[in-house]
Amino acid sequence: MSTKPINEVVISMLADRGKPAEIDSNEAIFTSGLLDSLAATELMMALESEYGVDLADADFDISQLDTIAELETLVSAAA
Amino acid sequence: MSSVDLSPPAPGSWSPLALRQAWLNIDQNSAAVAFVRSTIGKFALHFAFIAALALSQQLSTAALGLISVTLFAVAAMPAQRMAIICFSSLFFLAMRPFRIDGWTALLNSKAAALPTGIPALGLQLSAVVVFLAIAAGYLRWQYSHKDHIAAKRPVVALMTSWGILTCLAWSLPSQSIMSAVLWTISGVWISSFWYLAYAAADQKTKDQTPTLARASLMRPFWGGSATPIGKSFGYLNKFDAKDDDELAATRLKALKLAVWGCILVAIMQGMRWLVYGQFGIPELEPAILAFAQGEAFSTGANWVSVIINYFMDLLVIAVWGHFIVATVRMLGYRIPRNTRNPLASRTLAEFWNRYFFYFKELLVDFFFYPTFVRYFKKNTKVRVAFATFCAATLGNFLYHFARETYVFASLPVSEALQIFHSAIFYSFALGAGLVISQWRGVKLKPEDGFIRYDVLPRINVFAFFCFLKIFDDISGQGSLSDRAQFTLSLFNL
Repeated sequence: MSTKPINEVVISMLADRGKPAEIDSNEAIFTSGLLDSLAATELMMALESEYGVDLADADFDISQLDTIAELETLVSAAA
Repeated sequence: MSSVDLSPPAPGSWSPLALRQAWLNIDQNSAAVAFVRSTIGKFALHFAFIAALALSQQLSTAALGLISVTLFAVAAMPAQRMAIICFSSLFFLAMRPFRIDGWTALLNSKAAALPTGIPALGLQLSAVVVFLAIAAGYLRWQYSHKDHIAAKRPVVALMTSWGILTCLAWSLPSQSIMSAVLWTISGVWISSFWYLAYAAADQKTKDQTPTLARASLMRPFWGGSATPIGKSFGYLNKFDAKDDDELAATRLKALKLAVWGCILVAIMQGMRWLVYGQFGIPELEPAILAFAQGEAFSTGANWVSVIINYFMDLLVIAVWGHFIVATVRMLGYRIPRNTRNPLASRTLAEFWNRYFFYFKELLVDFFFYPTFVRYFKKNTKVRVAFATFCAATLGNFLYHFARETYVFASLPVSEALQIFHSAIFYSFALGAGLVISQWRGVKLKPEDGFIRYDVLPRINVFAFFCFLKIFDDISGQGSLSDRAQFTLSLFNL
């Protein structure tokens, strides 16, 4: 399990794509186009492999990944 | 009340480049934003926006009228925005429930064949009412039965229900009133299917939009195809302007986009006049059909036709997408553009993102992600490839197939299925292209040189979509074999 906070993962992904690293925890990341769907797949794989989140859960909805606050909730629920 | 700064400009600021820059930055210009916040400025901006839409000549008078009335009503009564949008969209749905002419023609033929003398409009309005009842009923039921499998998988549940209804319509005697009613409901349903799917997806989130409002946004007044530009209230709310300054800036962005749409219309019409009119180059479909009938144009003319078709297609999608997005922005929702500099794309996936953002979103939201989270979790390459295939091939084909099912009402099944041969090939080729592009995984950097980094990847994307467009047909005219032979003939094969 990763000890790196999920917001750092997102900020690092933004930086890799030349996007501003400063982001509000309630700001939309994917629906706003800051990160594309390919980045979303990378993040989803990181959530599964490093944070133990089971995305195959029938209750999972992609909109739960759209802000850092939602990601933090998802990760803390899986911990 | 604020006013625009009309003090003399600095030397050189009237140059075309400086004016262009000032226009592009107008939504960040505090004086312009303050002016648009004022009552006069707000209405001046709305008049300018409507004038831009009218100037483009891309909308019917009725559509322009509905958009104008709605936007002015929202500007005058901002607290009632959602209610106005819902009312206007319901009216639009009732008057124009179908996205394509095939369904309208089917409705008219079914109504004309009925012995009971029910007018087509009566049939249409009845179908709209039934569909809205189904949509609202499902959304309400879904909200109160969150653990039911049909609530958790709304797309599967809704598509299955629509499929059963359509099979029932197909199985009835074609002259019967039930056949006419069910086919009309089927047409209304599938024309709004993806809006309903997004509304159902929203029901699972924290978005607080009332269910009835969600059910009212099945055919937003801003028009468009069956692809939901703006998706749903849940999506729109994420882009809602937070204060008056942001609202004014969003409306200025809307005006800029509408003006850019007008410029693209002028470019498109100029290209049409020059290439198709003055140079006598055939449009792509006539060129393919002429080839199929043994009256082919010259190979050179066909090449030019294929290439020009690519650019015309980009322009067509950009123009109507810009006008729709601009209209949504006028309401205060700063949603992303549908088309954003597609010629800059260096990969096939990036092209889809830039060329038709909301269709790509539909495929990703309803096909890619659901597949990705469930299958082949142990093998990343296969996992991404399978999800891509499900989105670009299966999802893409299902979208077009379902939209065109009216053909089954008037043709034998075997003949109707032939219409989809090119679409099947198109969807497979697109899926294969995307998967191969992902598997190659060549990540070039600017240091690799201008040709390798900037030119060659863009030529690859351009060439792939130029040829793919030859097979982008669902009219049934020109068989798959005709289109394949036309492609080979470009290389004298």
